[in-house]
Amino acid sequence: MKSERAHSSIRELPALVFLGLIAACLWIFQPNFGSMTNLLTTAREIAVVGIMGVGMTMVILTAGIDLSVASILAFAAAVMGRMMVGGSSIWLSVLAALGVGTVCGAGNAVLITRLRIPPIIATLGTMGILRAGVTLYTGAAWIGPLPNSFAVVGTGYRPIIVLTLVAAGFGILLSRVATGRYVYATGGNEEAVRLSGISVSRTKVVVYTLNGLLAAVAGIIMASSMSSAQANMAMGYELNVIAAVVIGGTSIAGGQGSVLGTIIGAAIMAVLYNALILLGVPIYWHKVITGGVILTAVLFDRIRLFERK
Amino acid sequence: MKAILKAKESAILILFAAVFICFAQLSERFATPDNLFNVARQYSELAVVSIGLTMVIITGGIDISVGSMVGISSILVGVLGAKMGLNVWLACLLAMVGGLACGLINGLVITKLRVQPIVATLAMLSAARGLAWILSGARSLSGFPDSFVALGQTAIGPMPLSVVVALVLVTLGIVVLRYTALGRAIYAVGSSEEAARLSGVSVFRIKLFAYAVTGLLCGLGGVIMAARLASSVPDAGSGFEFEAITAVVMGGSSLKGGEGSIIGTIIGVAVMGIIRNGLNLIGVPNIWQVLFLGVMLILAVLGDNLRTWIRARQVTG
Repeated sequence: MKSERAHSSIRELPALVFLGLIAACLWIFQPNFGSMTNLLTTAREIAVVGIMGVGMTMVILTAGIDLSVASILAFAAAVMGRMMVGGSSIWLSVLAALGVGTVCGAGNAVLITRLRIPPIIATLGTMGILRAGVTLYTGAAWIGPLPNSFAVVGTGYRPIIVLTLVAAGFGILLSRVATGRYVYATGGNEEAVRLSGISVSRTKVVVYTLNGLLAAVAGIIMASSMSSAQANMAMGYELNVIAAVVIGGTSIAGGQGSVLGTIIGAAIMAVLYNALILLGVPIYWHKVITGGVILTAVLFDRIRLFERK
Repeated sequence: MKAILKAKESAILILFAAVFICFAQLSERFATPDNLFNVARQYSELAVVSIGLTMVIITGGIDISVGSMVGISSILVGVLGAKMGLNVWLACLLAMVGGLACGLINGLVITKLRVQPIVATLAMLSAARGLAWILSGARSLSGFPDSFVALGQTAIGPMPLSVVVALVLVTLGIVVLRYTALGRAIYAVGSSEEAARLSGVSVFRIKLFAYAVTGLLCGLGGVIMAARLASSVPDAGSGFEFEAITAVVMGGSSLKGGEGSIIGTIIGVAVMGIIRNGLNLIGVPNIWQVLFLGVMLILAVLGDNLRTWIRARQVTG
């Protein structure tokens, strides 16, 4: 057990070194990178993708996938935004957003565990349904401005504090709590877990539901930083989140990976994006580079597995 | 009759008939040849792309980069044929080679580097779309020679040329999958890679073929789209991956591999086409169509689960 833990701490090392290198280069050659405004903007981007990434890590650890997170984010933010604009209290609106996220996540869980629809299909379906739902709900209208006292949540250091709390909480859940161990075990060998008397579907229900909840948390931060909500918020973010998880060394086949790796993955993507902007490179290169980084990360993993053998 | 009902495609065929009859009742314009050929023209690109994706999914893989490969090919036609003034037909050929190259890279990364298909094609989705934006300078490109634009409007009898091309490729796909050793090998790899390997099938070649053909067909899809719109846009085909996967799964292919057919996929594409068109005609906003398709996708898989369950019950008695 001890050696396994030592191994898992090395797992994130290549990604961390890579992140350190690009950040150091930027710091030296681009004075603007170190400016507070720039760092905080980058940090917020890391927080939004990272928080969703924590949930997605758990989902992928069980060998599943969730394509609907960005739609859940938009739905939760839109419900919250309309309540706030309509005069409800901030706390109540935030609670409603979390509720919407949880219910959507639980809906995915029911489709996947009770109705036995493969995760990629079930969440492809809910991705479309929820995005259409939020567009109909909002009438495609811009919702805002949100109250100033709420806009505080998504500015300054706060997003990164939320990310830290989420990452620490779920990191402990995954490594120290039985449910977390079952998450790894389910992805490692579902049949063995079933035979040892642990409910695979209960683990999956927990994982997809929490993933919906975390998408709502990310939605709250995003809406706060923009002081508004919109039906097409975070469109396409599901792929960024999956990329962050994969870059962070989590295996898409399940059973292997960590929350810390995902946060590093989200940071790599955000810092690279920032680098391109500071260097004046057309931002479309970011997509090309992201593709390259995904492949490199997976290949690193492959080489390490090979060496261990 | 029994054989028809037992066929894997029966569910989607019944769905197609039901949707068709409904819309024919609801809208007078729906069942006119003009309208139906128009739908076919709009969906010929998706049909072409879905042929390749069906093969990939039958081998047990997935390709989420199809939309981006359509995009890069469409932009290649524009950059080479309109911006650089190359012969437009040569530009079309090179655009298809571009699609093929992307598909080959997918196939090699998946087989040689042993990267999971969803991750490898996620990387391609990102990279190819980025390249399309860069090459185009983030602008849509037009100014094609008249002969190329005319081709996009050409029809053979009542049938638009793109529909004829799609039908020819569909037929070819059906023949390959059903009646050739290659086709049987594709199913074999999807059912059990190990068994296929032991019986002498080169799993490497079969998978490479499936991904490469998908790339090539996406290249063709991009060319057809450029001709239809008389311009290349950098976000051409974005979201195609979702529509194509929906069509393939509705058509009865299993994501686990080893099961599926091109007939099913094409009916799946047709169902999507007539639903969107029919809802348009009766004045339902676009966004309801997305909602409808999401529900249909889940229902299609549920129906399939139900049938497997009933069959299992019959076997056990």
